[in-house]
Amino acid sequence: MSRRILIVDDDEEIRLALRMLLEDARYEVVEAPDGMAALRVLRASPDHLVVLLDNLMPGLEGMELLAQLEADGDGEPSPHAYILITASPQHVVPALAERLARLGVPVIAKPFDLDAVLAAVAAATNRLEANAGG
Amino acid sequence: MTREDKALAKRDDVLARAKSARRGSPPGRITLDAVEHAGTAAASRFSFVASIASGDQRAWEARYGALVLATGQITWTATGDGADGDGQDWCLFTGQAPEAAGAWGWLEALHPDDRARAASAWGDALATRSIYEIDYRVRRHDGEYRWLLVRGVPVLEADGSVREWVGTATDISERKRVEDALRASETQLATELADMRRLEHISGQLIQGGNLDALYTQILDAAIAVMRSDMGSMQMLYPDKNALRLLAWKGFDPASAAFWEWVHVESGSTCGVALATGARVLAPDVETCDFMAGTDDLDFYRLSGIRAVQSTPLVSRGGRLVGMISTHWRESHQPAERDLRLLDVLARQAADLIERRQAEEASAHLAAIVASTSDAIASKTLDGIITSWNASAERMFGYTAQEIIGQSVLLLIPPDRHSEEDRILARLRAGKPIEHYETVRVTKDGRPLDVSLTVSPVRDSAGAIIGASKILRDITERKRAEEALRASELALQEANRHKDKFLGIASHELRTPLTSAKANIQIVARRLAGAIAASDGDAAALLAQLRPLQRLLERSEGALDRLGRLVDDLLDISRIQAGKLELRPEHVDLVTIVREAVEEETAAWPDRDVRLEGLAELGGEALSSGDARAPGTVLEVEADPDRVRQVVINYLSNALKYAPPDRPIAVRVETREGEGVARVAVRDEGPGLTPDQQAHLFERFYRAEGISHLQGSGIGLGLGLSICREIVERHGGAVGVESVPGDGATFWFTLPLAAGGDPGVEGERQGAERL
Repeated sequence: MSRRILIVDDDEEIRLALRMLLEDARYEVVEAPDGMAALRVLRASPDHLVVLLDNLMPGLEGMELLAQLEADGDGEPSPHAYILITASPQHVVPALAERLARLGVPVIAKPFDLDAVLAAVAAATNRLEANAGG
Repeated sequence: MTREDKALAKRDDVLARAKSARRGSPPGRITLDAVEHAGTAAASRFSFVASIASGDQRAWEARYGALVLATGQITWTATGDGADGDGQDWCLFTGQAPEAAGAWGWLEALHPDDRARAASAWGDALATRSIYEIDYRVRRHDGEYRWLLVRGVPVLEADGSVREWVGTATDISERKRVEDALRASETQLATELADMRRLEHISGQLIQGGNLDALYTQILDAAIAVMRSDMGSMQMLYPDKNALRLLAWKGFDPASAAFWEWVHVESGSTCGVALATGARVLAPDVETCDFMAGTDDLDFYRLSGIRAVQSTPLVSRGGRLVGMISTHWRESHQPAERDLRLLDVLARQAADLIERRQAEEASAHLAAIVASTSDAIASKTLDGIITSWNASAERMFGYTAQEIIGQSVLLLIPPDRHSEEDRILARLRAGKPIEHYETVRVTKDGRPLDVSLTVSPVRDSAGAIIGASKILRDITERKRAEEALRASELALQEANRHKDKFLGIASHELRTPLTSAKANIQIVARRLAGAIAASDGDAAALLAQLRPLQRLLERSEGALDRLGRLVDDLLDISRIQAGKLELRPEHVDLVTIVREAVEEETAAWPDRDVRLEGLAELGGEALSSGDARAPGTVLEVEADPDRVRQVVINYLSNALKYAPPDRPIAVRVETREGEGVARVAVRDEGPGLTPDQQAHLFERFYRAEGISHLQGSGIGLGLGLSICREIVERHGGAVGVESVPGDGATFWFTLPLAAGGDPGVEGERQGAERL
């Protein structure tokens, strides 16, 4: 079965590169150019998605998106699996790091290696399937 | 030998014996020997009782003798030559045998010290036949010496010779005693008077003031005089050290004075012990003084030749020990009670006056502080009436002391703070402390003053609070400085915040194109490997696989170009910070530069409506036509064309990035009449900027918050505008932005026109003016 991946990044080049990479790996890809668009997709999606989330975006930033989704679930964790992509992992403040750890969100630093992205996506997919199976 | 010769010989003999008696033998025995001797020599002629021998006679004698003894009144007679006479009373009085008293024998009854004087006086009287008068001490029959006043008068014959002497001797011992007592008391009175005068003189000096050191010396001199001592010292108590400091000294060896410069309670000196006990200490002999034994102090007493010493505390009327006065003697000495009493008077007076002088000096010192301080110092009653007002208060508030004293303190307090004064007065009356605080007061001309206020209660001597003293410090300057400091701290925080933000954004902006370029190249590599493996030598299939990869590489190139521009910006900023931004000015046409920059930038945005206005437009050029400029559109400036192009591109790319794509952007080139400058302005119809954003936009690292930009354009490093400003200002021009939030923004810059670089045709100037 093919797992759907949501790519959230304001940079079109990055979205395109990720799309090609993931499609080559036989994933189905959805794109969102900013946080608000991503929020709409996630709220509407009946499936549980793997989300590649850029942290620094105009409008709604990646971490704000996560907080928003957590609020939506009324304390329940979001059913989707997230991977945070950031250009400055050293700027993830302790409070956010704690939130990421609690949500089980891995962080990938830019510029990333494609194999690392694929590995993280594969792990997230497995997690979602394990949850669905349980 | 005549009778007179014999008598004189007898006299000489008696005197010689008396002299030798005084030299060493007991006077009583000598006297007795002399009496016996004299008695045998002259008994026959000095007879007055021989003719009367009956019992009646004896009874009369007894009564008469009692009378003589009771009244001390003796009558006597002597022959003209003094060698014989009636000495009955004398013998009764002295107990001398009549034969012993005859001739010069009576001298034996006199006090040995008086004999020579008496003999000489009697001899003179005999020789000159003049009245004989003398007083001397006579040993009465009971052995007690009595003073007798003896008078004798010669009774003369017709031929002028002396028939006889008649005289009296009166016991004047009582009178003598009274006289002596009087004399002694007069002497004492004189001494005490002198001492009192000395004290009085010192009091006068103390009251008059003057040099304290001179005063100490005077007190010391007086103490030495009063105590009849050889040396003296005066010390001042330093209560914080509980030690005595030597103020003045007389007669010491300098080494002793140095040793006693400071004397502590544990010292082995009398002053140390007096300090410890608070009472006078006497050491009549330092060699036998138990507390001095074995101390260094004793050595220094010896060094100065001191054998006896006393130390008397100087205690003020208030009971405060202010110092010590000591006197020293070369011989062992026990001071007399009277001397000590006088010293006490001196010490009390000196202590009081020293204390007063100290207080006066302290209050003079305080008065000087009050007069010279830059703080306003004022006092008020418990009803808030001003009672004192110093010079600084005059300066600070503009009221003279004369104007304000007697007025209410409310005059100085802004009306909306009058309740503050009520609270202060209420606390004062209640005896509660008032913390120092900051508030506002008003000057005479109505100016508000930021002041720091300290209020302390003023108490009367009984301790009751009768008012308050206030110290006001003008803190307007300090407030201003504090605000400036706060502002600069905020600015620093803001700058740091911008810098942190900048670092986050720089990481993002630099890594994003790097990420996409790297990802694209990796994908190309993967697909190339996959395609080659899958083509299996089929060239057509391979070509179909390779074609999309070309696009990926082009994208990578674009990403790397973006990265290159960011790196350029960073390098520019580094150069600017290092002061090494180099310009290569040329004589160039600004219109051409602007047109070329606009063409270059808009090439990537074919759908956007970008218009050239002003001179460029008047030159008849349409952007789309793009080629050669029309004649007469030249606007010459002395500038680095690449850098000016960079500025135009920056302005324009911002407009393209932030303005809605469907709204036109205008680029206008014009001259400013009279200013000698060319002006380039880029106007967009984007969200506009707040005044605060406008104020900071050209600052390094500044980024206007909350402004959305076109997707995929990157948000940049926030360095562009600050680089633009640096470039333009280095050319002698200026940058600026005009904007109303919600109604777009106009970014402009000016450059000075090159000398003679006027617009090339008349029409242009008119056109510029019209615009």
